Amino acid sequence: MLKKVLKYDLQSMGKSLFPLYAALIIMAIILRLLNLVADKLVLIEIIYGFMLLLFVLLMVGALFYTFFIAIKRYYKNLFSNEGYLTHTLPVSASSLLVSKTISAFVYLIATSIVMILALMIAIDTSQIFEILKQGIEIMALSMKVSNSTIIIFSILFIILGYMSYVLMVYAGISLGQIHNNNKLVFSVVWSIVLYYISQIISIVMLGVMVVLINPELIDMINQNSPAPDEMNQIIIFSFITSLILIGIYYIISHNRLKHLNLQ
Amino acid sequence: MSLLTCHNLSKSYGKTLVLNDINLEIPSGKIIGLLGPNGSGKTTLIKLINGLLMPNSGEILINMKPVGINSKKVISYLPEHSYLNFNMKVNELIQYFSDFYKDFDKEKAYQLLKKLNINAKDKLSAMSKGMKEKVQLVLVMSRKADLYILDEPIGGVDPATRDYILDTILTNFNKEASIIISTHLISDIEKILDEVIFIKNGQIYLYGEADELRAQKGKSIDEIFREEFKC
Repeated sequence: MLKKVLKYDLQSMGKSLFPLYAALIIMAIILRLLNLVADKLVLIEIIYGFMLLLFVLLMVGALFYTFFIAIKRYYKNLFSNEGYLTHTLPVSASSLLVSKTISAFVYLIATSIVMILALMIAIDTSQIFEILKQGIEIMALSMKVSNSTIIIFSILFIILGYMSYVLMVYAGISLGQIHNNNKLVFSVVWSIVLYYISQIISIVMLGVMVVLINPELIDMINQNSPAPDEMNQIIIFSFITSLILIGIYYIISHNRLKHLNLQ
Repeated sequence: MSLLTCHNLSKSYGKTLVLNDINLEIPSGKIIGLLGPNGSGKTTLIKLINGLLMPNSGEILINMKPVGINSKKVISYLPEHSYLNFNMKVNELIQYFSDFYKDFDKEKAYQLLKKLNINAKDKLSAMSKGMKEKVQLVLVMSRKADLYILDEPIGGVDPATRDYILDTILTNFNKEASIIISTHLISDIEKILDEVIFIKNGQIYLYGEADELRAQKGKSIDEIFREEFKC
């Protein structure tokens, strides 16, 4: 049944996100074309500037919008009137939750790919990629790891960070359903509460980790003396913390889906 | 074997007790009216049977099994308001039901839609409230379920359409199945009821055969209801 639930989750989110993807690509093509003739006419130059601003705004908003669409789908499909149908389908709570998580992940990847493509179409990215490559090389050297490790770690960092926020809001919405009134308001309140709790847990865990690895680590970082092994351990540890938080959020949401309170 | 059993079922919202120690046994092959005034606990009972709410105490069994995936496979539920995604077209919804419910009869759904002059290619958002209710009823009645639970199925439609809808329900349900109909409009459905449950202040006030009750009291079910629930 997971496949079927996923099919409809992907379709529904796609209906909201494909227009954004189309807008990004079309705008990127227009920008590229305008760029070719921009220096020939002042008016075109103004239009180009305006379009570029709009494009940057759209690029900045794209991931936020993708995040919003994932949250909206979760709330609408599970806890609004539509929830009466979703929860009377012969489907397990875990299938519903796993499907919502996978679809949020799929569209994070899709939006990221479209953003990179749009950027490559819109402007000459060879310089940007050169700067990025240099940055990666510097980081790889100071961390004593290969370039590909830096790339993989960065991608993992983005994915884990994004997914932990998605699941945090899923859990917040799910906890909001415990209340008999103002469920939407309580969903927001619970999401904020979870955010602060997760921040406190992360800081405490990091502190514990630093003490365990090397209490002088902070001094070493302050004095700009690199401590690559320790830093690598801390990065891996922060990944583990994110994974644990994701697990806790999943358990909270799953538990609430098993104990529905659709009034 | 009873199709639906409720044992000592209680449910409260905060401090308000909505259902108080409900005990019920519903057999197969019956049309049952779940009747009671506003706030009597009808919809709460229906939601508990469908697993949309959790009881505070007691249990519900469907075919001797607790509420869960197995019960959802055999219950066809029509809520009092719309539960469909308005951005979907009718034929997409038919595919949706067909994907999830093994007992869904696509052909029957299209036949019923044709009779009601509903275009399957239309989006729900472009339809009137009454049309949406009809689509929902068609979807629910196109399943070959063991138990149909219809919460106010004729509440939002005009009297002429009511008869048509009742006829649709009667001619399309699986004859070995039972139907629970919750409504205020008793006179409209009285003629089709085999049994009636009167629910008052969260308790079963009366449960019996419709014919027996009529003979015993010398009145119609509608009249008995008006008398018992007089304000």
